[in-house]
Amino acid sequence: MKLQFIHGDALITLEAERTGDSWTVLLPDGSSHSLTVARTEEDVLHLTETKADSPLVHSWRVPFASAGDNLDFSYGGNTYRFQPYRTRASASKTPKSSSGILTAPMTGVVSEMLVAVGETVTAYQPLAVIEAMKVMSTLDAPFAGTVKAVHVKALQQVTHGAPVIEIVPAETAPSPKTETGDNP
Amino acid sequence: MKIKRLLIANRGEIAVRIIRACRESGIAPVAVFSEADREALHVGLADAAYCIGPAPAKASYLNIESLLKAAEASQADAIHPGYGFLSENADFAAACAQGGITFVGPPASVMRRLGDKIEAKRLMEQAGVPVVPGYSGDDQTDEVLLDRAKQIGMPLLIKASAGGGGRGMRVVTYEADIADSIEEARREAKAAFGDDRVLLERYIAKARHIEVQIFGDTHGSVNHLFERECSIQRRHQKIIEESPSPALTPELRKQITEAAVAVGKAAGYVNAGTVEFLLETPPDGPPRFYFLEVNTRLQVEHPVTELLTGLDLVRLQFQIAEGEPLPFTQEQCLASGHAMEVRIYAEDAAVGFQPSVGTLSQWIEPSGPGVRIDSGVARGSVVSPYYDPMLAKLIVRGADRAETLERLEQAILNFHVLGVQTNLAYLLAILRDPAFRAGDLSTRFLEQRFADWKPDAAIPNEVLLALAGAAVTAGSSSGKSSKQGVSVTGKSAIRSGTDNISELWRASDGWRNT
Repeated sequence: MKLQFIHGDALITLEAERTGDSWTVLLPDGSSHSLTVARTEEDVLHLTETKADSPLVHSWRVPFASAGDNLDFSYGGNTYRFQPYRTRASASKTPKSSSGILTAPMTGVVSEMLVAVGETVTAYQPLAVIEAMKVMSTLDAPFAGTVKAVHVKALQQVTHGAPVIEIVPAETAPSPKTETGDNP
Repeated sequence: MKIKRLLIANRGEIAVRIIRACRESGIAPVAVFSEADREALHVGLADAAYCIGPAPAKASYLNIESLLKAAEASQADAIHPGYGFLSENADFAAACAQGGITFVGPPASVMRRLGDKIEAKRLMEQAGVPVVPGYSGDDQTDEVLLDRAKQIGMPLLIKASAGGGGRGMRVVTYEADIADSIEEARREAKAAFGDDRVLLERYIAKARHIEVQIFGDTHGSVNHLFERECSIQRRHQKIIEESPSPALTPELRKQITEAAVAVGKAAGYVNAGTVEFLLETPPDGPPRFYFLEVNTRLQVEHPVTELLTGLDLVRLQFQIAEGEPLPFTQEQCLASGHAMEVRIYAEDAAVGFQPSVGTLSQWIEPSGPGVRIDSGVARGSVVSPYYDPMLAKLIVRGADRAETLERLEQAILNFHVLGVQTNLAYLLAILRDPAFRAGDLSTRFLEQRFADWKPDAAIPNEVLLALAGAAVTAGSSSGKSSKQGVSVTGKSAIRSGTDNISELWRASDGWRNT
């Protein structure tokens, strides 16, 4: 069977075929591996690789965990995150920037909310401060405009990527001048 | 007077560490916790636990009134402040004393004297301890400061007398900037500490951070327990500490430890303290050390000294607080081997060391000869955004530095943390750095050698094969593919990982198209 994953921006394709008690796994570099796998109750994978031309076996253990869509692995002092690749649904649900939705740059607490709905803001004006473990991160207005929505209150916790503030650019705000004369 | 019941005014690994020492000493440990820490490891280990307020530290772990109430309610006769939070707060020490509670640490008067940089520096000069050349006078007029600054020369360091944590500190490179920098430092110091007095020092650009552990008793004795080198710092945050320092010759060690004892005696020091020095190693002359400051508390890195000397510093603190004399003479203190500590932080080294918050889906600690872990978390612990990102300390002892490094490297390779990002890979890279291995350290080591460090992007085959292994053992086929009699059933909150994978397996028709 073909197994596809996303790691960072890369697509990783593995192939695994069952042969009796073991699996034959084909890696992206073209190498083929004969593998037996066991998984403990604590989500630790016990892997053993055997080679046809050698009596030696290579055994190693890899703790893993899943978090939402992600599969996390710990090995050799590093951690690795993979996401199962889906051909139909697109992976990201939120549109990228340019819109006026400001999201939390990290999981933390909103230590200060500096604006309210309806307020006019200038470009680069600090709008909110997110704090985690003594590290402060300020959300600045990407452009001049008006605060359309405030999704969190001061002292509330936010998770990485959650919408915090929405702003409407100054240009799209109703103004007496109409450049094109187009009316909806 | 024997301590019967001790309240620990702290959280995390140090609270766990102190609880252990309480158990060994026959003292009943009392924990406190904020609303965010209800499920924290230290809460469950103590005999009793009191909620002292909402999550923000100001409302809980820094709330003197709340802590004293918890002490009263629990009938604690002593308080250990740990490190950080209120550990160096003289008002807290004084409030404990007034309430008839033994504060495990130095008296408030000693903390006040040493907390003021100008006063501390003068005291050390009188005691004959070398200090960084500069000006620490009472005359704080513009003319005098400007004049003295020019005498000291560039580069110059301006420090707030009441300062700490780098606030109110300025490095001046050009003489023309002196006046403005003094003004800025004063303003910052006034805002942060309500005290705008500053002192001036020659700025030592390349130095090593060497500190000496001291212990004083209430009978006038002060002994040292050797040095620790803590030069590996990132933004003034220590991350690797070791002893003995590779920079000290026996002669230099004798001088610096004797200076530390002189500092302790001059200050009338009682209980555990750390005297910090800068060691300047000019290429064209002998190394010179200068007194920096005294930390009037137990240090994060105290286990380095414990592994080296075989002493339990927390239990020693209890004995001193009970009025016992130091149980050893200076000559009886022996250190053997080498010890090194690395601090494991919940931070993402790949994206600017941003704090990493989450639930620990895996937490597997290494073990082996000479390996010690002081941890405040376990699998399933929630790492909240409210407090310091340090999760645990890994401390290793070996016969010499080389063996210690080998053991430490293996221990890091066998330390597994998932659910939050950690600095483990970063620590490993530092330990493998040739300059680090050669012991060629300075407080700017990381800034100079690791500023652009990124984790290795390549994925080892072992991980790709594990990925395939996780996929093929997910869902219904998992039980059958399990060899060696390892069962894949069982229930716990954290185990849901396995089930999630099988759900993914079923839900995602896209990634299984053969």
